Formats: sequence, structure tokens, C-alpha cells
Amino acid sequence: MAYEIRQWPAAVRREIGGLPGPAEAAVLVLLIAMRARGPRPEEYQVKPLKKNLRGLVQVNMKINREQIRVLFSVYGNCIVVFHVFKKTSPQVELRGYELALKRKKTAEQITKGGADELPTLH
Amino acid sequence: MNSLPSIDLSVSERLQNDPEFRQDFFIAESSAKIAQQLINLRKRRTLNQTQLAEKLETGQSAISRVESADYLNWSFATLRRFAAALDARIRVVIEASEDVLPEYEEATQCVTETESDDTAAGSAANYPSGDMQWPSLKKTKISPRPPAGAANAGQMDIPQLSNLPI
Repeated sequence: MAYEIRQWPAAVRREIGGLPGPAEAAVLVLLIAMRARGPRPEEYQVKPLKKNLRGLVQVNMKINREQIRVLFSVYGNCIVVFHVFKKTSPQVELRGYELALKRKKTAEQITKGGADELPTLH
Repeated sequence: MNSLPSIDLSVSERLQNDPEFRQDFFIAESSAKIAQQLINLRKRRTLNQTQLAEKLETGQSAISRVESADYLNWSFATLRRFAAALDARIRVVIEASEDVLPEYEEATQCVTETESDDTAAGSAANYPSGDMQWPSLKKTKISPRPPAGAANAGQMDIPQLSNLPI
């Protein structure tokens, strides 16, 4: 089953583009694999995050000694990426979780028709 | 259909025009494929990581490390050892980039670019009104993966070690 890879917000692609070259390439390879094979390609370290970050899934990558985090959620056959960042400290990682969670909530709120400008859901 | 913006995963143009990115991408892709093939072949042999480690006289963590997509320190000797332990053939194919780039040409996914804005109202304002269809985000639970060393004989894939891109 092919998956759709989406992002929220659109700045996520720019986050990927802002990574060092090898890390950017590795994240793109990961997302292409996820598009073809789903959210858990076995050659990647994919782990659902703990309870208070419920619904967020993390991919840990270590590229040239740099730790890259990809945070996403899965909705049916749609994988929505919320944040991609380089972990430079535990604090940065925690901030990354908070930001991803905030984005996730916003995306879910929007898709439930929380904003007046949005049409009825399908 | 309008929905959450897609991520542009079309790499074809960049692979053509950016030699540095091309090398980074090829390395990342080949590493991931090697790891995937080794995992598939190990499962086909109904071995868990610990059993394979014993055959190779190494530790389970070493197997876990080389079965990871971001492992880049491959040596041919290591691959030969794995291939022997898994009763497989290695075939190395080195291809000129101009010969393989057409493989990456794909329908460009439409990317709806909006300004970075995490607020619902702010983000929605960037979309054309009236013709949007937001997808229904029904959460799908991902169950925890079985322990790293566990064999999973039920999910055997055909290995592709014969087409090893190094």
C-alpha cells in the first residue's frame, strides 16, 4: 500500500532542506521509503513516543555523528511529518517534541473544521 | 484535492544538477538498501539477530548496527562475512549516474507552499478559500516493534542481496 507523505506546516520541507547535506539526503531517502512501504521501514529506528506525546512517532537517525529526529503521526495511509530537527542537546529534543505536538494539535484542529474559513470535512 | 501540503520528494532535478547532493543521496540510499536486504535475508533464514551474531562470532548489537539504514562504515569484508553466514551471493553493481538518473524521474508531487505559521487561522488564510478539502485525520496506532533480536519468520521477504548497490 502506498502512503501519502504530508507535512504540517509547509515549513517542514524547509527544515529538511536546512539540515547538513548528508542528513538531508538521508531524511529524503527515509521519507521515500515510508511513502512506498509505510511508517515502519525496518532498517530505521522508528519508535512511538511515550504517553504524554501520544500519537507522535519518532525516527532516530545518526548521520556523521549528528543526531537527526523526524517526528510524524500516521492517519490511515497518510503520514504527516510535523518536525525534523538536529538534536544537539536533550533540551533541544524536548523543545522539538513540544513544537511537534503543538503542530499536530493544530493540524488535527484544522482538519476537524476548527477554523471558519475551512470547508466541511470529507 | 486540497489537503495538508505534501512534502516534495521529487529528487530527480536536484540529482541532475547538484553533484554533492547526488553523492549524499546515493550513499544514503545504498546504505538503506543494504540494511534492508540484510534484514530480509536474515528473516528468510529464520534467524534472529542474536543467532546471526553467534554465527559471525560477534555481538547482537553489532548486527543491529549494520542492519541500520544510517550505518555508513561498510567494508566489503564485512559484507562477505554476512553473505557467507546467510548463504548468499554478493553482486556489486557500480553504475554511472547518467544511467540511473532516469529512474528517479517521477511525477512531481504538488507542494502547496504556505508561509511557516503554526496557527490554524494563520495557516488557513494562506490557502485559497472555497475549494479546500481537508483530509479526515483518523489516527492509526503503531504498535511497538518486537525486540531487536527477535526473528520474524512470518514476514519473510525475498532478499535482493544479488543487486547490491555499493
